[in-house]
Amino acid sequence: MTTSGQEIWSIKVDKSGIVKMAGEIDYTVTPKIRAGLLAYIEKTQGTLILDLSQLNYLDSSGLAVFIEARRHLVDKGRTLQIVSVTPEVKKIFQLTQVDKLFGL
Amino acid sequence: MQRVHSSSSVSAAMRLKKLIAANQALAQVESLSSLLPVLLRFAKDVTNALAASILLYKPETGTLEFSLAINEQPGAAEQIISQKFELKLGQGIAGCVAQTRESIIVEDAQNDQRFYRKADEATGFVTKSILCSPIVYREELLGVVQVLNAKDKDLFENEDLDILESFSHLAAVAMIRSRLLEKKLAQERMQVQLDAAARIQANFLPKIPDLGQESHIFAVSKPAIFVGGDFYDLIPMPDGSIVVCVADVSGKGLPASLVGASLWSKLRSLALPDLSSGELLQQLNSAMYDVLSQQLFATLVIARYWPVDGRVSLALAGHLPPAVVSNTSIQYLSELKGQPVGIDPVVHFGELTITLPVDSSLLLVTDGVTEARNEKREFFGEQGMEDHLRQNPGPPWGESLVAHVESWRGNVDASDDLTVVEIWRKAG
Repeated sequence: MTTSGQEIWSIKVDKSGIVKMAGEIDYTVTPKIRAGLLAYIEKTQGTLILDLSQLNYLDSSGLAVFIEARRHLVDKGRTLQIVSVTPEVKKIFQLTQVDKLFGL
Repeated sequence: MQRVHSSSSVSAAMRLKKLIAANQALAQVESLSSLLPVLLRFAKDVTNALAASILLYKPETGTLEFSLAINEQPGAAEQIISQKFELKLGQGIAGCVAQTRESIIVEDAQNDQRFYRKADEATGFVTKSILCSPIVYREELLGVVQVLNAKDKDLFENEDLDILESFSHLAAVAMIRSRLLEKKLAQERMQVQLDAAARIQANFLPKIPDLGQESHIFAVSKPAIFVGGDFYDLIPMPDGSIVVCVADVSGKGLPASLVGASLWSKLRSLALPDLSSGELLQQLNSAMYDVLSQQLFATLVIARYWPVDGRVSLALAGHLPPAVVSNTSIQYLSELKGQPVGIDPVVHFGELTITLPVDSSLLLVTDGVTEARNEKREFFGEQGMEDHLRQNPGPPWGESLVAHVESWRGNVDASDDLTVVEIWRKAG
């Protein structure tokens, strides 16, 4: 799955199946990201691994997408794990106290 | 015998007159539904044809659909439309024109391999000659116009095709114009609704109550786009306390505000005097779990304040920690634990009781303050907020903080809903 909109954000899946999100995610692009991520979850198995090392900004609607994706995975007996994250985005997970849900 | 009045210059002048009349009539038409019949009558008239039709291109299916037809043979036009014939790109003369985007003159349709016979079979009309021209605006194919069976002669001529082509250019411009007009009208209708919704949301916010001599409240909530997912509430309790709530539904705009309205009314119905702040959040979470249906979440902070002695009982759901602010210190209540509402059906929320000292404030904000961005895409941040609190004497600080964020933001549109609620104690 490769998706990108305008020049600000992109999602790529690398060879080992790690989903890398880059740029800035806000409410103008979350519907596309949500659709892409949920479709990807349907096509795959096991733990979904997210690399957010290039993601500089995430707003509450983006966070809601991650929470929803995690819910879908948990319902299927799977999990979501964030392996790398920028300090700014990590702060958002920590401030809303959902960091532990994502292995942060 | 000499032929009378069939010289090309006379017919050219006649055609030009008709084209000018057509342009004038097209300029008057405002809606797409009345535009196409006018277009078609002129196409047929200007080329002096027996029949004419417009097929519109549907990009989602890649097909042409008969949209309108005129035919001097009674009943034929109605039949063409009711049969709902569809032509793929490349199918029939119309399909070829749509595919190549080049006009075609057909002198003998019955013996032309490209000709699509089903329409004639359905109507009994016998197509002899065809003039067909694409309706294209810039790179976009809008459809095709065709005229059939020249009336005063055996075949259509190149001059007729020239006319039809000029005509289809006019038609393309007119169709785009009316499409833009419809979009503009739809936007205007939407704008009226959004303005009304914004007024309604503003009315939801409660009046600031009087807390006596020593205690004061400031509260403001500003949506980023007309309506938003932030709200605050101030609910007086029979024992003289007041339950203060600041909430932030994920996202912004209409979806967030609809959920916010539901959350607000649920909060009001659950806020009973014998519930602790943590229990209130717990009940709210259970009640809202389905409404949020795991696609949205809301962060909240609840602070129940007793003006009589400055006691505050707090609980928090994934929200920015409140700050106790005085002229000498800023203390965040980060020990309050609890995840946002709407993620899990059963959640435990930590609680904390403090006493708000005199000459200090309890400041509750949403991330619209810290996430505010200026032209250089810098964030106002916690630093910006703390700088403001340190550099200005108080209490209060809330109103000036909001003004500071707005002027700092400058001409940039707000990127998030912004809410600030401040409770402060000052010696009466």
